[in-house]
Amino acid sequence: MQVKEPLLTLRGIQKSYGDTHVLKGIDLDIYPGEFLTLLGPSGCGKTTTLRVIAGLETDHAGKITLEGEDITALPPEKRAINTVFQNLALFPHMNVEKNIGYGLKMRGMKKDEIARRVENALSMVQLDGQGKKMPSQLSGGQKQRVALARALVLQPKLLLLDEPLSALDLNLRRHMQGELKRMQKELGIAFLYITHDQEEALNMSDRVALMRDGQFIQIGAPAELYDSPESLFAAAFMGQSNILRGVIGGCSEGKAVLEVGGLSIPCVTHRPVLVGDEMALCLRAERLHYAPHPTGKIHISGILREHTYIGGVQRTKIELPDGQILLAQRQIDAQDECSVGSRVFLWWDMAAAALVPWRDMNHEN
Amino acid sequence: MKTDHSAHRRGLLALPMYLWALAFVGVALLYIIGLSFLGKGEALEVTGEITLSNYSRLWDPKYGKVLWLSLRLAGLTTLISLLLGYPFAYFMAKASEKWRVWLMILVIAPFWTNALIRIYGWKILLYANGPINQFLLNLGLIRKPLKLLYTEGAVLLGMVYAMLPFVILPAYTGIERMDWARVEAARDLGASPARAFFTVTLPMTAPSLLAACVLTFLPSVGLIFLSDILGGANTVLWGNLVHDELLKSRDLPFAAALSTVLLLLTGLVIYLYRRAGGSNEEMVF
Repeated sequence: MQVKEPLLTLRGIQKSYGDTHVLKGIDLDIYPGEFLTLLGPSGCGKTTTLRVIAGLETDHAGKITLEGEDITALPPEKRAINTVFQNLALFPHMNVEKNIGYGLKMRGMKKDEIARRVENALSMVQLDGQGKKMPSQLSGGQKQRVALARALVLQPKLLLLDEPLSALDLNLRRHMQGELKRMQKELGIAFLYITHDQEEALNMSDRVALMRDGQFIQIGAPAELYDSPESLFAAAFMGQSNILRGVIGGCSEGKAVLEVGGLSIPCVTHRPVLVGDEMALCLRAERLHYAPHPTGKIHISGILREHTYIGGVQRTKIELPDGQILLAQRQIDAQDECSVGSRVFLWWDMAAAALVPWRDMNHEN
Repeated sequence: MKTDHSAHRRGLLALPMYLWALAFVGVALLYIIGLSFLGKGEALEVTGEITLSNYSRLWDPKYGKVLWLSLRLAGLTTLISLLLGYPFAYFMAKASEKWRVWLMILVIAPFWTNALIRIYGWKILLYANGPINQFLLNLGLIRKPLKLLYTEGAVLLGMVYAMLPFVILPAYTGIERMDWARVEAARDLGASPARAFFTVTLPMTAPSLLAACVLTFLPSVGLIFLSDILGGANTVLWGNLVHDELLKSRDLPFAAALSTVLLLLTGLVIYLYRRAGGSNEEMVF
């Protein structure tokens, strides 16, 4: 991580609605120009976090700074932060131009200057010549662009986006993801993006903050979260994982053996473990390989039960001796030499499987 | 997008409503319009001759004055009810669930008693030796009782009192239904609470306010008992004219002509309302 002053800091933010503790003391740094995604299941406190940063939630504990300045007590209109709302919240009684120019007008800017900037903003989001239309005359994707232009035209230091693409169909969504990313890079504005879609988070972000139950579970680059989950929740939430639950049967410097249903599985570990610890090994489906003959260090075999094909991908179910089903995934390339019903030997790169404590799943509600 | 097909279906489903309206409203209105072109006979009877004389009588400046007073009072009633009712409705929509119920009861409670009784209540309050004058005299603010009753002001007061719920209820519905995220968006984009209110909240609730205006203005023009009780002989409104022609002069065709004027006015106001609303889906009627 480069040594930079954070643009925005959250320290000890807590928020309750009645008896519900929505945010349980969160800390977060957002750096200039970065694309940070808050990822988590619905109800985990993502939107509340965003509203606290925007200034739309009063009555919370903790401190917020923007470029070193304490903005905790500032109302939303005094913060150099703008938001793209989940339902977009365009003004239905104003045309596209007036919507985009609204913030500039509130700042008391001159009419011709507003017109010039609105025009630039329109062409940035590829809506040239659509300025006179009313929001009700626009398609979903166009409304999306207007909401984006309306916030970006103010050149905020930080743009907050609350699941902005959730209303779009899959194709348009993919397209807009790319465009958002492009604009963010071009403008160099820091984006705080909220989504519950892990694929979206992994595709777009510089860093992802995984959230659950009003707390951050893990914050890091997408690859870090994907490859080195620190908890079972992180492993299970991101991507397709096989979870092997077991007990540590032996350990030495950075290595351990996990006893799973009569199998001894060698693992590497970044955390200290003790014999008898209940742990889970998280194995990504695309990192799990199989062959008709034993290979490498891992000698686990199972029965191949099923092949399914999705797009260019083949998914294979393999049953272990104790009955657990593992999922392996690979690109369809050559003819698969293993057929359904045959015995196959499993192998994987030990560094690609993460060993995490089992216990954090126990307080799942 | 609605297809022609679904619009057609909706039209069919509404057919019983149109028939009902035609039978009970349309026929009665046509009857009145028809009457207004007939001559006056003995007592409440009419003659068979067809004439425009009932309408030519209307050119008397006397009637112009009454019409102007009626429109002016109805307009003022609408304006004052709006200024009082909108803030109340706004407060009610923003209030907590518990408060909202009580405020709603406050608005609706007057409907549980007879309107006439309530207006007589006002009359008692407004008497020369009534509680209001007594109170002001006791405070030493006035030397002799104010003339409150039988003034235009008293009629206006009674009309605002009677019409306030018809502003509050539609305004409340409009404010309550509004998407508050848009107000938050305005704040987020740099608007102070007051500017957000005037640039977003108010325009977005305008359709319900417009409906409230129509619902207040139209009945206000035709009210009769209020001006009778609180205005006495000093305040004759259009509705009183109709009433007097019918029950005192027993001139059914002329009363019908006076009513037809009111009918045209109503049509005009509703036409203007629809035009102002355009294709807005928030339109109430």
